[in-house]
Amino acid sequence: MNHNAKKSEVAIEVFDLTVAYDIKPVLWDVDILFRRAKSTAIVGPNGAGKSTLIKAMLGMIRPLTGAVHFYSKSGLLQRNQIAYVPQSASIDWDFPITVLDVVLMGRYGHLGWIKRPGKHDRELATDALEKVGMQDYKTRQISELSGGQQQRVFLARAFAQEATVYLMDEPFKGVDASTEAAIVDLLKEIISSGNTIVLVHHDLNTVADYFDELCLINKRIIAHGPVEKVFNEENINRTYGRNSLAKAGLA
Amino acid sequence: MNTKNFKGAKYLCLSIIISLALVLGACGNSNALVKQEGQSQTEKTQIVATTTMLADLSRIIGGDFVEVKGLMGPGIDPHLYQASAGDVSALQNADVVVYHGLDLEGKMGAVFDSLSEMNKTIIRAEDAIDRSDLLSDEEDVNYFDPHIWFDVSLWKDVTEHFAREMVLYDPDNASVYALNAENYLRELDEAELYIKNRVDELPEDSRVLITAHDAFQYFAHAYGFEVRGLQGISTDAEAGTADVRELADFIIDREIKAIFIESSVPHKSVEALQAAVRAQGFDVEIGGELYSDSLGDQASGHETYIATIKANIDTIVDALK
Repeated sequence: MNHNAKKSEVAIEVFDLTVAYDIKPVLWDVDILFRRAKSTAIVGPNGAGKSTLIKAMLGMIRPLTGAVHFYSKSGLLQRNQIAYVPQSASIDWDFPITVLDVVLMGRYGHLGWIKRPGKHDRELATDALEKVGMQDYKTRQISELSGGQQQRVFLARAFAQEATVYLMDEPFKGVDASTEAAIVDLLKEIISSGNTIVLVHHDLNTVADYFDELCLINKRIIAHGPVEKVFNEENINRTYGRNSLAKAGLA
Repeated sequence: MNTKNFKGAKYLCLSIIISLALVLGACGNSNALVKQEGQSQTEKTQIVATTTMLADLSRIIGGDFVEVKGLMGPGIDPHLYQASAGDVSALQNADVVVYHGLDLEGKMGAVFDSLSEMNKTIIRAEDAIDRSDLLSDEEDVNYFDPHIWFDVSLWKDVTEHFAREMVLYDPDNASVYALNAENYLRELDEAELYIKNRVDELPEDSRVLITAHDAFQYFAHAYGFEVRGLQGISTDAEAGTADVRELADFIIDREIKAIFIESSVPHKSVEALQAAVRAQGFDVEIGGELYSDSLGDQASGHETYIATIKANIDTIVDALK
């Protein structure tokens, strides 16, 4: 399962992770290594524990057993080196705040006590907005934007954080084609600068095009490795149930 | 917004006046100068919040940019709380006053009226809640039950409202308030899930909560409990013997395992209820103490809203299981 990764190539190590809500197990005995400078898609059916895995990795859910370690080249990662893009915003974005302010939220982990974001932070935030094609919307209220535009802004925010590890929960869900293309470009840029992405994904059609590695999950890890090795009918059937590939129109 | 700029200008004027005083009079009181400058540099927003719940929320959303004074300590009953002279001056000197409303702070109405005449920035939890989400008193439909914090989804509304008002008051730090709110709302989502999962451990007919005063209507409504209280919604009326007898019959009839005492309400009425049940040969436990109108104290480890509501659901489910 852990396809022989050298310690120095590992970005995230998950050991023996079991999560249960009450007595219903959601994740069972998950051991997995995510490799540095790779993008990994996590796929599986509804209720397979994909979001739970991400949340448990972030420490938002307390697991029954297990541990998660994040590494940089020089050792354990600081908290602000991990960026998270949630599936849906917990906040209702009719909030009276500009697009630039939303992106600046990504900079606060880098600021000291009671420090305002400075010129450098504003430049980084503006760059990040350019990367997702939203620079012209800087002074607009976030509430005036469409869902796809808001999603781009949240990705810009994660990018402005200058994190080492990016954990994303279905960033492609419900976005238009041009936003999807903008996200893919951003993911490539993150990987090419040596950073790591773990991303919950739902569209099996795009797995091979978008990602380096694939993790198939259904409460347990079913298969994990380079996309070309593990993305096959047998693994998909083991994850989603019999003949699911045909049902998904991929056969 | 304008008041903030105005205040900045005021500090500047003060600094100039003090500097002039130093130069002209050479009075040598350098401490005063240092203090003034120190304040204008870090200038945290001074918040005064009435209840422990609102003080907790103010600290979480305001973070390093605010200094919060809570008027009521843990275990204090807000229905009966009377503002001291010190409280009134703290409220008058605050940049932002946060109170609950819905008549929870029943004895402080006049104080709030005078604050609104002063044009102070006031954030009221009451304004966060859609009227249709409020539960009214059975006897008086014009009186709403104020105990909204027992429904986490309503507390999320209060959180967003509070953060939104802080952004309007201090737009320079909009990102901070938004970030703190977003993170906290996510924690509230998890806390809500925790409560729902704990409730699922109880068979449906065991989901009955009996306490001293009827503070748990929102809890009941949100999480599927039947509630009975010895007193009405407010703690300012004492339970009569007829109420005790009626509730004792209900407990025996439904074979309810436990009843609960509350942190901010005297225990004697619940103990009287237990005695009335035992007099009829049925045993009901006192299932533990619930936090009702205030959060826990530091020694309890339940001094935050999330720790308090989790402690409550643990107490309830563990006793009724």
